[in-house]
Amino acid sequence: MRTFTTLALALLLPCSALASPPQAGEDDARPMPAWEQLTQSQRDTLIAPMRARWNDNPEKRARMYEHARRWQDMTPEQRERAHRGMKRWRHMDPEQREQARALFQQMRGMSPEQRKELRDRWHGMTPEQRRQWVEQNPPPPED
Amino acid sequence: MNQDNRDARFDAAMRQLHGVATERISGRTRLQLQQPARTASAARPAMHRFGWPLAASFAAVLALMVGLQLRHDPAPLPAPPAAANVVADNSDDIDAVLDENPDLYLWLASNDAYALAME
Repeated sequence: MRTFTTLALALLLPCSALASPPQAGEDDARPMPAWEQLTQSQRDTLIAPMRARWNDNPEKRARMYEHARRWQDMTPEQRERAHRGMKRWRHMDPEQREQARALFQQMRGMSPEQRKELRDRWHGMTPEQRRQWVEQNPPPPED
Repeated sequence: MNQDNRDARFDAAMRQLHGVATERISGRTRLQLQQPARTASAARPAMHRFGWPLAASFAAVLALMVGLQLRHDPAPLPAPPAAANVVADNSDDIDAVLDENPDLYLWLASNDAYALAME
């Protein structure tokens, strides 16, 4: 349940960021209670989309759980940064996402000097050369 | 001890996230959602009468907020969708949270990743 709670809140955080500010006269309304004080019905409403996702994709459950645990292990600051990265991800097309996956995979094991060297090389590449580089350095297949 | 600290940190983070997430929900919806808690000791028929409409309205507000974020569309807001549409409306967010490695998102927000200017 805690994992579902983490994910529900991970989803709710960006929602709140762009929602309209409260209208005049609404400030005196009582705030929503903490998770522990929500009714079971309210909790069910919040986690229903994730429950459906989990039940509909048995082959992805291990990966989903691993990712959920990672979200849970993050500090609040890391979670905030990850949300910024997620926002960036949403604006990428499929090819850019593939490049990001490949570059992330390569760079995570590199020293700062090696990362700088790859960054400089990347900047000097044409779009076609970048496609070739991704083909030669594919991101790991998703299990 | 370490586990206790992690649990405490997690609880604190969750409370903070929950507070941020819920503070922008309209006052009217908050009042509607608090209704079941205030009437918890009331007769069951009253719960049956209000339970589903309240849950549906909360789901509709969530769907509306997700829609606002995903579309960045200043056009007039559509009529609140039925609760059944909520899953479809925020499925992109669910995919993003569950399908990709969260460390990839962390990296995308790093100076290294911004310097690559992939977009």
